[in-house]
Amino acid sequence: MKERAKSVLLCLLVLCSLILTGQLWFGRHSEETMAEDSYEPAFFEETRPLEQMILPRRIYVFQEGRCYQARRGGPIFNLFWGELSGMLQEIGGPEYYHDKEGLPPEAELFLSLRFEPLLPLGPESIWLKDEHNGKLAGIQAWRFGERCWIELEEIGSEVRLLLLPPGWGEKLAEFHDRFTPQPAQACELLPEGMWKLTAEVTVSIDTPLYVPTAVRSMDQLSLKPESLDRELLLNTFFIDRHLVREIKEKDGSLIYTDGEQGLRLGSGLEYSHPRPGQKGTVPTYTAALLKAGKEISYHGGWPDNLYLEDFYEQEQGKDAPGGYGARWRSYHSGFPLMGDSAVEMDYYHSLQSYRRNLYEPVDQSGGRMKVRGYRQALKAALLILETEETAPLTLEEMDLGYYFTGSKAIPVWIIRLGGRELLLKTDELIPPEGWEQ
Amino acid sequence: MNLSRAKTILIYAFLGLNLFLCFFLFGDLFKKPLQMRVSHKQWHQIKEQIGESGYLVAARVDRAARKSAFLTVSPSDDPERAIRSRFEMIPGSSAPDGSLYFRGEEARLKVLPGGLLQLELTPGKPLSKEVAAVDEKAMAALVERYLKENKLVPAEIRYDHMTASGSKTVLHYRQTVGGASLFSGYLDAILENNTLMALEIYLLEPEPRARGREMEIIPAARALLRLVEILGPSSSPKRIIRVDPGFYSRQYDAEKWEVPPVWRFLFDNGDSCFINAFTGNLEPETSN
Repeated sequence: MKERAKSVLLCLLVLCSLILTGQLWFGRHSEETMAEDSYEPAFFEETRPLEQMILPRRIYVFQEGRCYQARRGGPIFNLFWGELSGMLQEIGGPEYYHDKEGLPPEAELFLSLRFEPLLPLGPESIWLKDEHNGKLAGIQAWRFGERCWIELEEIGSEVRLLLLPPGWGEKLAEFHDRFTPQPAQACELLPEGMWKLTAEVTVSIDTPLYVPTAVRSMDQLSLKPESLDRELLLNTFFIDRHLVREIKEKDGSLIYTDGEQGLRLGSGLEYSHPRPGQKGTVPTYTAALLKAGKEISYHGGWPDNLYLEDFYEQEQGKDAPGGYGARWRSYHSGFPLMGDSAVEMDYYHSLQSYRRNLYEPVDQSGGRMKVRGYRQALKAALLILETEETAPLTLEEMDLGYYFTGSKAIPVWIIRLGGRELLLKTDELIPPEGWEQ
Repeated sequence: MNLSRAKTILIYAFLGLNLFLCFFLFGDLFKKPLQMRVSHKQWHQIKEQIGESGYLVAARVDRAARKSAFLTVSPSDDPERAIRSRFEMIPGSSAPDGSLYFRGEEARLKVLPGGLLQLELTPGKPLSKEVAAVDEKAMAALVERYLKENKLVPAEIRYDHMTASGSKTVLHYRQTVGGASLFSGYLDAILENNTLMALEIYLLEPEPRARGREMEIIPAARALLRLVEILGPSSSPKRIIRVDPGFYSRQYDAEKWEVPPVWRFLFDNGDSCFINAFTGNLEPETSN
């Protein structure tokens, strides 16, 4: 009996050792080890290079005494900006190209670019790398035959005139010669000064404005909310997903929080991570721009039709930590989409708040809408604003765009007048439903 | 050498081999709880450290390593249904914030949008003929008897602690879920001169706990250190009279949400602080 028990015990021990050896041989990972090892940095896309982050707000091309606007995303816009951007990257230091003689009287303006946000210059940037850190507000390009000059309007500096080397000048001149304007691109210059709109109404213009004059009708757009991979999005914000809890709101929105940072997914996304104790040096303009680009690329991505619209340093106060604020806006067919559709971000050394509510066009079958002329639109705007002030209001900007309402985007006139922004439907010249001044 | 002796040698050899393999494969699992556990020596050091910051611990502190998971809850409408059936709505009495008012026999009920019930007894219900302060346990027993008689006490409510200020006394009851405390759910009985004046009831409906999502939680001693770190040194001594594990999160006006495990620190003045047992962060709205 005893021998039998010994045999059974021995067999069990042999079997047990075989199983344990098997575990050792083929590897055994605890759940926790696997969870720790499975961490991978999550992001939607790689950060865009700086040259694709900052683009001109407007490009105007002048031909035979007339002005044409090349809109964002269009081939003319990309052609001229691509060429000029490449030149500014190669120039390094502008002193070498400085033309002390000035423009010849025969030279004609053929290209004008405006930057909002400002284009960063200097060693941290890719444009004029040998310069000190600066910011460029605009570029004007002039030509006389094949010779081309560019005027750089740098913030806090005098306008500098550079004579482009023959190869570059010829190339720009060739692009200009090949430019075939489309009727809808035509603009009219409203010069600086007082402008008498009617016998009773006068507006003042501080800086020359170009307004579109030849757009007769525009498509209404059908839009759908942007669709993002929720799991990936969560992983971009929360390193340890095990610590994240979910709150389902009554309207179906979901909130995710680890107690410090919160992400709400409903109509778009809202993220907040208050960090009152953040200290340290404020990043430079270029470093902050790159940071903004990285944050948006990681947390949802940077679609092609989304443009950086506003970028500013925030004031540091008792309750405000300072840092930077950035705002992006979608463009459709080169026109900005107004309304509750944008990306906004506040950050210091790391993201503090982020709001993203974007829409994609389904098709353009929403029908076409008539576009009334800018004079009529301006008159309607002045009637709506009706102020008791006797001094004429200053017209700051006037352009066409879209206003998002419900699931549709309708064409509107965007008028910035006397510090206020007005949107008017292009056909009826009344504010669109849902829009508040 | 006979066969029996050979078997014995082999048994010892395989036993040794198996022990070696077991140690190699599972050694970490055995060692980890011991590493996580706070030793006597460490606990005394922690007590000294927090004592220097003005905090005294007059409670039994669990030093063991534990595991837990989030608890999914939603607002419970059971108490509202049970109590409202005995009340009738006061016409046109809904408040702008969405609160509803009801009238019943010698009582007024306010139902807040998030599910909080406020029951005001008009006049109050005397629980003891004596006006002088009654012993805490005796008072709790009297309140519980009243709640039971009036079918106002849900089964998952347990007495927690008492706070007093002047003639006003509040008996705090906490919600329990399968033996664990859910501090977000509570019943407060408000008394004045041994007369029950009002009740506040807020209960949550827990979902069955999901298996396999359990994670290690920080020991109470470490949570205590975090609490002192967050609150900062105290100029006047603060006494912690209870250290309890449980679940807590602030109230949400939501459909459902996940509640993290916490360590609840109860001070002698009745204030509670909740430290998230996963992250070591202070859970906001720390007192009810």
